[in-house]
Amino acid sequence: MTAVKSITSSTFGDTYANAVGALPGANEPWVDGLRQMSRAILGGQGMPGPKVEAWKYTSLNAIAKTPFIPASTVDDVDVMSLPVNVPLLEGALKVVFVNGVYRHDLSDQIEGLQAGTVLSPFADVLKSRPDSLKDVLGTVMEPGQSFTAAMNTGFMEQGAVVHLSKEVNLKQPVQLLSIGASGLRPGAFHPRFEINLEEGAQATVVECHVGLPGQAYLSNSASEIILGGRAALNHYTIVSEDSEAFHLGRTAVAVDHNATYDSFVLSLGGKLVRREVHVRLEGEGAAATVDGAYGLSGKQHSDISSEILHLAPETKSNQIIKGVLGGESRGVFQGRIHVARAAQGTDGRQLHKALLLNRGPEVDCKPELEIYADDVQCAHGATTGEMDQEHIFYLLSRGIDEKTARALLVEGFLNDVIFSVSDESARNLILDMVKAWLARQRILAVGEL
Amino acid sequence: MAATQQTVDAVRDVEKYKYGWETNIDSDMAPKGLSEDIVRFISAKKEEPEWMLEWRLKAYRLWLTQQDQEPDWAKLDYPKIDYQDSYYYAAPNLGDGPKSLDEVDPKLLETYDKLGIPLREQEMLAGVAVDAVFDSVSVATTYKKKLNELGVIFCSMSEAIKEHPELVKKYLGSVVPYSDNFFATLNCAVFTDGSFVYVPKGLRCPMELSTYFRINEKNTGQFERTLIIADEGSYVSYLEGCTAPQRDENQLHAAVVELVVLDDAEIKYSTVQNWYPGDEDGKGGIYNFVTKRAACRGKNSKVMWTQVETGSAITWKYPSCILQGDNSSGEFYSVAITNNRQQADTGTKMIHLGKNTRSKIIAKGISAGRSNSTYRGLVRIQPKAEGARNFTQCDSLLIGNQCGAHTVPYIESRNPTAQTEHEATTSKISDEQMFYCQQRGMNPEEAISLIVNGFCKEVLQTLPMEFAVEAQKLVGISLEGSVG
Repeated sequence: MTAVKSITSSTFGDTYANAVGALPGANEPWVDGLRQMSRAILGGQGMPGPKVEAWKYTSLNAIAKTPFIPASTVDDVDVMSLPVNVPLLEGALKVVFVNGVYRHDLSDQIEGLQAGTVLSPFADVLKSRPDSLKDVLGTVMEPGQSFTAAMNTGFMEQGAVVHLSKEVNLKQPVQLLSIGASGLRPGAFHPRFEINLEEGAQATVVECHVGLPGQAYLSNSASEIILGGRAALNHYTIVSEDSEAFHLGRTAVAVDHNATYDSFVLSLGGKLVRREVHVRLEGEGAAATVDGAYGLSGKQHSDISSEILHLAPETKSNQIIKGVLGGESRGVFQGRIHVARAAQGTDGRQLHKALLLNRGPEVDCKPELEIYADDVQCAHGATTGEMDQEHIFYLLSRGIDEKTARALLVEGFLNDVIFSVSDESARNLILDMVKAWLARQRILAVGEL
Repeated sequence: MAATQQTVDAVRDVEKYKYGWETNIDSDMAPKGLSEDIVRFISAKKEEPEWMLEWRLKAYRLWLTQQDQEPDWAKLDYPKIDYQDSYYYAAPNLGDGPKSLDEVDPKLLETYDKLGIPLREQEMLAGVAVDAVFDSVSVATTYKKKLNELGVIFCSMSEAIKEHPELVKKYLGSVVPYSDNFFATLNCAVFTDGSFVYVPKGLRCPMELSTYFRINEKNTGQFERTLIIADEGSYVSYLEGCTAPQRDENQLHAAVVELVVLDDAEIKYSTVQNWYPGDEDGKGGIYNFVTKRAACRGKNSKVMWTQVETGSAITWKYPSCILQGDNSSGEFYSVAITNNRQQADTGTKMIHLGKNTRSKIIAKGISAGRSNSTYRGLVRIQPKAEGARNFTQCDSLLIGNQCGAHTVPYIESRNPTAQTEHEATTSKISDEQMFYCQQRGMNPEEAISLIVNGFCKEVLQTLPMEFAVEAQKLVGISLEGSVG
């Protein structure tokens, strides 16, 4: 391991080191132990450099050089109401965080939901009912497995807990909205989302990570998800951070027998965005869809790194990731499918397609298969290239100008995967966001998109 | 069906590792271990000029500083190699060196006979020019005179250093520099022999050139160094085969092969690697760490790598192409078969630098027993590679539920006009396929051999005739005992 620098000592400074005792749940030995262990991992390994395989294509230098303060201590910016262009999911229960802090005033009423449903601020649960998380916290989001997870676990403070009892079907989708807003000094926050669906429960959760224009901030989120037998979760993550912001987020999921995890990641905004997805198909017949799309311009860097572990027989996974790159951006996709000895009858599919709009961007792709069982059907594919001239010609010959033609083709390229989002309101939200992104890009001259 | 019948015969014919005898002839050996003195010893034995020794020493000194840089990223698991516990030079004792085939020790010739490459017969019948390397020195080069008349230089590396220093100086280390990687650096310091080929401008080499490598002496490492230069408009096809006797210890093989391809030239490089793979429990076997790289320097140049990897306990090998010249193309065809406890981590690198460069990768991995086989490949498109094109296909076949098959491709594109495509699949031999074959009277082993040969056909058919037959037999032999 090549360490850029030790994270606890320099990046987050003393303000962070001293705050441990004040964090929620600090008087619970097991919570405190988990935090201390995570910090020890960070201190021991430091920030991963390019020689660490998982970070080969994404450099953390810019983050290491920024002196962050805990965002909850940022006091020169205040958000009194929801900013206008925040993506809002129709009919959803909103839970809003500003700089990682739960905002009761901006959120919907989350008490007294249908029977068997718990939707609470993470800090409240850690303070009042820590035992309800004891068998959950840190079991799937293992600090030792990822720098992102270790950092979040070491500094986690606020967030949300979603818990559904057996056979509960939560009709109303939940929207977790995290807004970053730094003042003069860059803040860092580490929202933690715990989603636990018991046997046969069903829910839709949409995570949105956005920010106000201004200074750099670091959003380091972690979503730990446990799905019991036959449970079904739709989980959509939208990252549209400010152009100066850093986003390091990880989703870790355990899926039990015949349960389904249906997910989508949209990565549009942020200076440096990395989304990690770690899915463990632990029970027979478990299934996961881990789709995604990204659109990049300027000097943006976006990284989607996924690991899908088939650990039980007859498990299925499906993954399609599509990316559009303009400017001098860099897109990274790393996808690993692991099939354990026991996972006979596995079906794993993975596809990554990248469209390069002009001279300048770079796309790095590493689809990986690691297979230890023989009765499996696994395939992956990856393509990179530019827009097909014949497609443009076709549209031009029908009287559409080139600018519009190109935009239509880009939209079509991305929509192809977005249409597979099963929840209608989430699908419409994602489509709208892509449209808005395209509209912003179209201001630029053709070829510069 | 003829080919299948041959495979079946071969399986019956050869119980275990067919090439596992050793030849008892006196060897001239350097003391065990590695030091500056050994490097000087090798250089002196080879009567090398000063500049060559300097180059070796430079590499050796660098290697000493790299002790913590032994590559560990491959999916390979083996105990740490003790580089002091090996002999770095072993030459069969031949007295003053043979002037012609008639002077070659008959015992040696017998060895090659057993391997199925009788030099004389080949000379007479096959029309294949053979350069045979036994442990560390090149024993005999057949057909030399005839090639000489055409202007083709085909000789051992030691001879080339003496006879053609200007060519060696110009090209040696120009594709794989002495600082390239841990194993290549070690090779630069202690390489003993290998082949040297120079094909002059405009010549289409009329015969296939071939080398047979064999590790005979106990505890020796074989460090071969091969350099092939195809001058403008020329073409050459080069074949390489490798075997080693059966031993309990692990033996090290760290080779470097450099290909230089100038304008409009083409090199076809085929390998059938059948080093001793170790026994069923993974005892013994060759550790094969090979750096092979081709520089397509000229316009329209072309390189085609074909490899059939059935042997070695550990294979670490990535024949690569640097596609520098405009319109140059690189192709990589590979079959890697692992059985018992073998481990193979192999693939290729295609670096696209020039305009309209093309690359094609077809890799077939077959794992059986408790083995693990990994395809690891890189396709990199640099910003100036306008219109570059890559197609990659990796297929893995698993036989039995104790083995593993892995695919680790890296794709890096920095040019929008370039197109890359990658696809990979993993599957097993289906019950239907087996049933179909058995219903027609084949036993399970015959059926597997047939199905696997079909799975590899795309690669095997790119081999030259003589090798294709041997390779088909090898496929059968390697998978022996994997059913039931």
